Amino acid sequence: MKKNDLQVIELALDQLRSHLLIFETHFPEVVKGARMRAKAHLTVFSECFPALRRMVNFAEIAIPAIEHMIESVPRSFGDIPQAASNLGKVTEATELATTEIMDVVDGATERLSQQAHRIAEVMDADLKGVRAHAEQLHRISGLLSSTNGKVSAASVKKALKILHQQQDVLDVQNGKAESTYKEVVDSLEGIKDLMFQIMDALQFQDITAQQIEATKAILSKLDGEIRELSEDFARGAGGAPFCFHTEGVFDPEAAYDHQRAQQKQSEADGLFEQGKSAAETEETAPEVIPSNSVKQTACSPLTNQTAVPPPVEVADPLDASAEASEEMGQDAIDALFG
Amino acid sequence: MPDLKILAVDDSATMRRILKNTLSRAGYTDVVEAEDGVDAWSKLQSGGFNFIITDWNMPNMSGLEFVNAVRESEKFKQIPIIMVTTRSVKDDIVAAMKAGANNYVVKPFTPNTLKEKIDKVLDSL
Repeated sequence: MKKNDLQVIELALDQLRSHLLIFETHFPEVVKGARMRAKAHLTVFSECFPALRRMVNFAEIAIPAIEHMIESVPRSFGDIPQAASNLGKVTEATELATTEIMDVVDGATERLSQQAHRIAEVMDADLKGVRAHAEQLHRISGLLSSTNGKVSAASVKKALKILHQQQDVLDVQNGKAESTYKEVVDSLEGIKDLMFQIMDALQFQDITAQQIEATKAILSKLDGEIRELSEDFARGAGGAPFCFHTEGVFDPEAAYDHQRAQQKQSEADGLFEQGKSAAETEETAPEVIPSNSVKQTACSPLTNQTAVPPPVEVADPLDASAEASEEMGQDAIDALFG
Repeated sequence: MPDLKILAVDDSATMRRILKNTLSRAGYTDVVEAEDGVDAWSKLQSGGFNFIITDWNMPNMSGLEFVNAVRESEKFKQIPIIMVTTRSVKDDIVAAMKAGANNYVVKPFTPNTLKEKIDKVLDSL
């Protein structure tokens, strides 16, 4: 229905109102001069005027409401692409942030591995150095050990020479070790910076939360307006409200919750254990439930049909153990698979 | 450590990377990624795979449909399969089992859980 149509209807109603007023005004005169039978008919007719007036008044109220509907619905539906776009951004942001975090983790892991290797090398060198020094100290000790309280000058000279040599070796070794340890410490500081990069990347959660909130606001508004329209039309048509279907490749129950996942893993394990035992004694071919798409509907079974056929009734010990739609933990799943 | 060539199927690039990383830490480095059942089926044809790890909720061909296809194929029906998914209701787990999955891991999972399931499946072969 277009705006022009409403204007035509308004005009027609105005004309009708005018005619009714004229009739009402002159009607008493007509009734006076008419025959009894005509008078009776006309009297009945006059009793209809209030009802006709009420109809005109109702139309006067309904037309603005319809006008509002015509204007507001296209605007509301225009928000849907924005909502979809917001959610697309959320997916994109989380993917990017996650990739960033994993790159950092990979880099940090590699760096830690390298530094651990370097420290090990330095420690190895230090240990060897210490052993070498110990040997030299033994030599010096031997040289300076007196026989009858006397130590020869040559022995002292030799001992001093060894000491000086060891001093030089130590200086070099210490220098290398110091340099390596410094580099390792700097590298570890760098790893700390990488960890902070992960923290920075995790800000995506705040950003995506806002995008999701924006989307939720749009969807709530749309939901309200569409439901209102649906109920109004349903009341007018005398039928059931419009039904909504949601389909897609997703699990609406997905949640990032390790504890819950662990519990569900147990239950899934249990089911697989039981199933394995059942399968070993089963002779018939396994039944397969087709279709992975999630279809949710608020409609009654009389007005809508689901795409997934009902499961075939097969005697199955698993059916006795728990409700079909009950969530299973990993232990239960393990038990089922065996 | 058995020499496995693993086909890792998931529509999420993040999850594929996590799977690959987890498998690598467990000692399995020969991992090929696929982004849905259709892609996985195509890669399977190139041959050489002796283990499959697949998600469930994927476009084009779901994990369950892919498992069915593998089990119906004379050439690939013997390849062990583990499903890794957020789905945890009993109906889904039973459906996976009946379709021919050898085991089932609920997301989010720990590296130990996945390794344990792989070991269990290999031990049962």
